[in-house]
Amino acid sequence: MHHRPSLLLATAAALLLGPPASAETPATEIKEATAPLAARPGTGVTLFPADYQFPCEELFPVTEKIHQLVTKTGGPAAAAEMKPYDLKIPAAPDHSLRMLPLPGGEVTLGSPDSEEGRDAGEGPQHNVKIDPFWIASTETTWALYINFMDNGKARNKNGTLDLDSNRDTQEAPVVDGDTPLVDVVSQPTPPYTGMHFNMGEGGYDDNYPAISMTQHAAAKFCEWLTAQTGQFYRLPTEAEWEYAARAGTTTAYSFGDGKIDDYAWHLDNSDDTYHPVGEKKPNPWGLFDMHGNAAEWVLDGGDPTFRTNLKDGVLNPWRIAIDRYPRITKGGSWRQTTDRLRSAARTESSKRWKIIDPQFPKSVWYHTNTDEVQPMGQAVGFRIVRPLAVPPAKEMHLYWNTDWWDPKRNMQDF
Amino acid sequence: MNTNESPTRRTFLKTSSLVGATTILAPHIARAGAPNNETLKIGLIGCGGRGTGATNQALRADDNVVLWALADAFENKVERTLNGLKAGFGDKVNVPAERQFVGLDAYEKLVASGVDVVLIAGPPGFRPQHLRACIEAGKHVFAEKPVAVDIAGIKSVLETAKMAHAKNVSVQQGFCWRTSPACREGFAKVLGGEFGRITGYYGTYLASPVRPLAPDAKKPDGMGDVEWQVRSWINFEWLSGGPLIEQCIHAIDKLAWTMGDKPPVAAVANGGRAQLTGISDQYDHYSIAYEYPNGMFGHINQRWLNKCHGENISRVVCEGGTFFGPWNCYIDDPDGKRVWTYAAKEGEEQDMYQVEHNEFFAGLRSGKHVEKLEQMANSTALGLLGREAAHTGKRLTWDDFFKSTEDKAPDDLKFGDDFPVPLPPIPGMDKLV
Repeated sequence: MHHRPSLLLATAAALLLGPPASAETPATEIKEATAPLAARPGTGVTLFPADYQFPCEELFPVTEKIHQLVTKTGGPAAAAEMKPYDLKIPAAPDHSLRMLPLPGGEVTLGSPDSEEGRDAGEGPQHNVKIDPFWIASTETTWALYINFMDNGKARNKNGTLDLDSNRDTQEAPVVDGDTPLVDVVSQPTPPYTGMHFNMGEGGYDDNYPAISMTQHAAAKFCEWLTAQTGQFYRLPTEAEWEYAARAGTTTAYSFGDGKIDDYAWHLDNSDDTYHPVGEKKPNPWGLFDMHGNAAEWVLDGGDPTFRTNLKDGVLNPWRIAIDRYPRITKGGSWRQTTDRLRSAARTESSKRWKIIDPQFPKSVWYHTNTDEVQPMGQAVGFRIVRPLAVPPAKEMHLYWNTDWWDPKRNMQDF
Repeated sequence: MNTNESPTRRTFLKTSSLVGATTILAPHIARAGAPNNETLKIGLIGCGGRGTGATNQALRADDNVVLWALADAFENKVERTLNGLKAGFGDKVNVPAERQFVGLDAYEKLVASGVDVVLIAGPPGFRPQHLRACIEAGKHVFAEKPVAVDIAGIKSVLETAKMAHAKNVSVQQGFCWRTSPACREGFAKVLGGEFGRITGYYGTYLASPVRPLAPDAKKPDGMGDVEWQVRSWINFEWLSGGPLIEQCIHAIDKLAWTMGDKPPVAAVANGGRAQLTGISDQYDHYSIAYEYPNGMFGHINQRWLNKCHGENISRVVCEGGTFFGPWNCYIDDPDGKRVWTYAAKEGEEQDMYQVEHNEFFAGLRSGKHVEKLEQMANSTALGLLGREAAHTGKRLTWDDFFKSTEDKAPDDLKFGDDFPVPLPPIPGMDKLV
């Protein structure tokens, strides 16, 4: 993996006004673990490397347009007004995702040295603060995801609409034309084989978790949902995910001394396949499959210095993912041993997850590996969140543009 | 970058094992007098995603190879492939401007540029021509699937295969699943009789349209028919062979594998256009029953349709169990009980695309040539038999199919030529030429 010698913190101004490297927004280098983390007022802290650039400038008009929609749509003003609801989209009228409100709170991230099966990267532990958000009670299912993945439009390799019958040119999106915003959002080109890999009932079965997508694809799905609902959806940060998974517990698993087979699909009980969502018992906050079934993408990139540099008491920490690898999945999967299912455990992505992609550059949308010693591509899915606070458009843009098709970046699959 | 996956590390491992092989076998490559450690110069025809991927694998497969020349119909493709591979391989990529060839005749210049090994990955419609040029010039070849889009192409490739054998040059196949460790283990079981007699085969490739043109796509003013169609080649049958031949050929090749690469008696098939409305002469679905001797049937089911059940499974049915593959390989007994599941072995190369090239180059070094062209031609012909059975609506025998002379395009088309897109065939109305 790439190791960056120094990390920079973007101040709120740097984040919201432009790239941290610009002349009017000098950023602060972290010299040592005790250096203070700058806080983004209201939304928390984010770590940026020195050369971080505001991503996908050409797609920002799409974000702005969606941001206007979200602002217009509105939502509850305070945590006390948040209610559970069923998220529905027109393309899948018979299906929904149950969204559960979580009040803000605190969580101790990571595991103690004494926890069995832990990796050093799970520490040191830090107590951090989390703002209120809704979270899906289940992993995202094919019933919803297939409409995004199999969108049936001629698209360029970066997922923008192909407006000139030439997939090699990546036209800037047209946001004020006749095309609905939901179609303008960059989304996958079709996979060359079934991304369910014939597991489950053998197809894109409605109640099974959508799998095999990259973190980028999962993030874009959130943008696509937002563009048609006016509600701001994104992937959770690792901190939010762990807050939700622990549900107030500090034990290795949220079921304490309970039997893992009652709560989770894992290597020894899954029969070599994923399973419909919500078949096992939920965690104390009503969330299903937080342990096992599909491993779940979070927004964070792998970075061993993040935990070391983190301090107690910070709000909404997020280690923004810069490089394509490694990125973090949480909760473990049907394909992994139970120690990988612990609340603190992470499974980091790797370019091996695209090994059965015959093309070069490889697709930015799919993880295709199979028959590997650890074929995680078929075991990764995701769950969505909706923060109560709607961030500024530029910050919103960061959540949906964590990766992108670019000749230089594509070399990281190499 | 994880060090044990870097080209350098892999190259080092390869070198060590080849040193051992050298002493035992005293091999040589086919070119007269060339010592085993000669630097092999690789050329690529067709700088798309697959061609670039194949080059990546070739450059990792052997310590002493360089990328020497690139050819594509379009300049930007050559440039992109070159930049990508340079960034990954540095000095192993030695393609100065004079060995970057552009245009429909670029392949001829590449063959004459001093290359030893050619990777052929242009649109399938050009493959018979590309193969012939390479083998005539005595080049070793890796060829992507399929190898032709019509019977004229098949006949040409079968002749080329004979030439390759006579010249003692290698042709490695792009039917990648034949080198998948999982499929090999599974097929070895069913072909070896471990589950009794094979009684049938059912293979599917039910997917979404690949790289479709927008329904209202139009040729830009001033661009020739040929150039425009080559730019979107997967949408036109004279270039791609259609979805059955371009993609589902993998499932058809596994039918051939199941039947010991022996031809069927005949095929009866259905096909048509269920969703496709834009400019294209292709069908978007096929269903084919192949009749084999002894009352055996092979069934192929293909489609490129959005929002339908997706599936890509090959099932080899035996008396005592059914093999499922190729993505996750396992065997269930007649009661549905799982009796075998493939488990990858630590340390064994699992990337079938890499295995293809490892074996190809190992053969060049040892002198044990890989000769897969005839097999590739037969698998492609099996697909074409099914396609033409659907297009004509007739029960088409293997023998009658080989009497046909269908040739979907002349070999000397130029970018500016008029070459209107034909109407899709109508079963019962259109006849096989």
